[in-house]
Amino acid sequence: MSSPSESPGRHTTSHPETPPVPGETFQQVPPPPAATGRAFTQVPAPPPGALAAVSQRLHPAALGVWALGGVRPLVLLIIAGSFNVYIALAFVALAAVGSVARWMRFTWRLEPDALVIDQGVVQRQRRVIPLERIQSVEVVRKLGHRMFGVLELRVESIGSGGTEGQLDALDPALARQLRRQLLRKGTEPPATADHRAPAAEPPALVRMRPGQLVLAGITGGRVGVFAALVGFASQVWGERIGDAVDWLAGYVGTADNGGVVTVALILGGGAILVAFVLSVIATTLTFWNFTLTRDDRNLYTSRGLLDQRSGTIPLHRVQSVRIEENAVRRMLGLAAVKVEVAGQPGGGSVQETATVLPLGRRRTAAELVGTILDRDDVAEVPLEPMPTGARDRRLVRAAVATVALTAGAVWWLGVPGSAALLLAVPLSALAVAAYRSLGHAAPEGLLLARSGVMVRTTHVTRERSLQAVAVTSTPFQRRRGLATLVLHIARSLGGGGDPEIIDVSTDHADAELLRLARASDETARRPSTPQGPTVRAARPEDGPAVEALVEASRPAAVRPLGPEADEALSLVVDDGGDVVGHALLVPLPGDATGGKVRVLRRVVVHPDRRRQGLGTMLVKASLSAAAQQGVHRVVASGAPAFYRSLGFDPVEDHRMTAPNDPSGPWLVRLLPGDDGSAADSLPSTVASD
Amino acid sequence: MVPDTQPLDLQPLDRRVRTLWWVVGALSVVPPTVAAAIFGALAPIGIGRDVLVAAVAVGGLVLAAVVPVIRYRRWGYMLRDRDFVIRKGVIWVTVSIIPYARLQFVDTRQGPLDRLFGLSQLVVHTASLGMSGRLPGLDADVAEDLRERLAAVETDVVTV
Repeated sequence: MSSPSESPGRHTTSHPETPPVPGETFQQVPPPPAATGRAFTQVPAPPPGALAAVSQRLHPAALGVWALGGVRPLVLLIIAGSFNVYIALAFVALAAVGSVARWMRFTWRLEPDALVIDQGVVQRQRRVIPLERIQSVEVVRKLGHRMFGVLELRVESIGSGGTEGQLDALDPALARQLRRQLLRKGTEPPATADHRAPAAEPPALVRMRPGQLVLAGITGGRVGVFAALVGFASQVWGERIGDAVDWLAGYVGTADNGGVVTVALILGGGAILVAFVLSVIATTLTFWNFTLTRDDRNLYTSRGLLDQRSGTIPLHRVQSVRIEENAVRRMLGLAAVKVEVAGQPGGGSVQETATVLPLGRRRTAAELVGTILDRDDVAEVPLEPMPTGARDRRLVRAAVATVALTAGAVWWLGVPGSAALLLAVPLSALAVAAYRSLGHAAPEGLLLARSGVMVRTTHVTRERSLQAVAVTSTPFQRRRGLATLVLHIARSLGGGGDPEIIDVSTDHADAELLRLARASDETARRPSTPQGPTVRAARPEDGPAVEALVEASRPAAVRPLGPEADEALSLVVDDGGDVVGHALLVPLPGDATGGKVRVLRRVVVHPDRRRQGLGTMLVKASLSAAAQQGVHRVVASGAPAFYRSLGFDPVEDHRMTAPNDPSGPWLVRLLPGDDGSAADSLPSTVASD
Repeated sequence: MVPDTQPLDLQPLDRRVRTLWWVVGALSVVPPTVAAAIFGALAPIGIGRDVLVAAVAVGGLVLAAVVPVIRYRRWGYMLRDRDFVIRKGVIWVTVSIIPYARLQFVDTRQGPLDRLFGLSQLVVHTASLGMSGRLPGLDADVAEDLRERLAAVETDVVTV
């Protein structure tokens, strides 16, 4: 959720109109039709017709995209030489039927508070992704999409390892419109914001040139990966390589040792060269034309040569930013920057999706971190070293490793093996380097933690991103009065672990543990609208105001309350002393569940204050209040789309039967305390306003 | 460590969990002992088979007897007004604090052995992948009560 309080200056620069989406560099896509674009630009809400809450299918080109994907196994069959016309035809027919069925059964719609996807040919599946849980959206344009002139949209939300919502083929204009709508929630400027003209497209923060990508490929960690692959390949195709070696040996001549060394050098050099070339190619394909831009709400990345991707990450969803410098890059004064966002799909691609600077000068990297976190002091903060005990620990480790290796070498080679003692020199140097790379700092509201010798990583984490804090220590750390502070943040699978401040003194760790736990608690509680309306329990003196509100809201539909109203919990939305919203939580009439079920009645918002999220605030506060009283389930009727977005399901889904009541479908929200024992039919006397 | 310097008054787990750990530990000595017996029979080594089996069994049983004692002493938890403290670990000692406001959901779990001892586990989850607190070995009623108390904390303040 957004915390406007953190950057009050931002509201004035917010523009209600659709911001230009920088970072869109798909040159071949025709611009969206002017009419659609304008209608959308001028009327941000309600959403334009194309995105009204009606179910839509994917673009028919999805069939083509899927077909292209399905061709691959066929191609493999042909390559394998076992190509049979009939099998191939059967395969194609089956795939075609399957794709059409899949397309027919796949629909999506954008509701006011959620993206709803229905899919599944045999087993129907409905996925509701509340907009407030969306962490980032990516538009993907693979070769297949380019062929058919469509885009793929991926929606990442918290709470899963994989992509939560994937729309395989959409009209480009629609895809972009949808992306903006999806990310609108929680980032909208408050109604009182200064409505200014949209700013011009901001300049790119990062733009990678081909030369820089080559450098990134040469100095990147992929070289190691590809070197391993080349080694593996040389094992698999050893015979052919053997022939090549023979030929090479014949050419160079292996009469003397020099010849053998030359052959070995050529082979080794060749393998390394291949690894470098592959790394450069992979880096170039992935990060081709990489650009990063930000406006006042979002970060936009765009990259890729064959598969083009453009990602949108709301700035307030960035949990942590890290600067990575591997040993080679550090010597050249270069670094890469990645952001941590929750809910990205796991696997290798998460590293690429999270990259906001593939390669740049160290200074540029530090400044970029500051830009992303809206802080101008990040690049300047000096890091504090750790207690010297941390260095001693690492030196002891180096000594133990040297002794162990020497013992092994002596056992293996006899007395000459004792030369392994010389390893003490590089290992101690490494130990000291590892100690020097440790560092930490805590400028107001931020935590900086640096560690790592082969890849030195500096994590910059906001205190408000902390989900939990821990102090952990090994016996060796305890002996030296050291501990590791673990910063638990919401992050993606496969993006590395939680940031850690390694080997701080136990006193510091203990003090920070308590301080950060408090900070984590307070930032979670901070209301997202500090001066805005708040929900509180109604007081006796609110009576007339509540009555007036109910009258003004729904004069015709208000029904008198039964005797259960005596036990009702009454909540009001208080905006600077004015009661502008009201909700009642009443027991079931003739309750047979022992108070486990309550009815939400009279959720009313003043007519002038609708569509500002007050209804949502009221319902959420009612649910919290009910949970606190040990209620298991809350039922409500009417406005099904609204209630569904707040986690309500049809009562039938939870073994309850609805009364025969004209006020609309009944929905139920299970609270954390629900154990299934409250399932029951609702008495027919229950009714809602 | 925190409990030494801070007046964190950590509560121990239910004593029965130590017995449960002893039982589980004793049971888990069986597979390596059997493996040692098979290994000794198939690949005759210098020392006798019986010696090997005895060494594995005795070593395992000693560990199974000692580790639960240390583990039980280390385990502790405390409900503070705004957060929840868990201390655990035998070699790596970890003290975690999880604010209630950051809890995503709270579960109780009961395995077959837990039921046998009348125990229950409390599992709390935050939005962080790395942080899911687990309290093993609570009295089933205490666990249920804790779950209700934690669940009653405002559920909708969580921000990610």
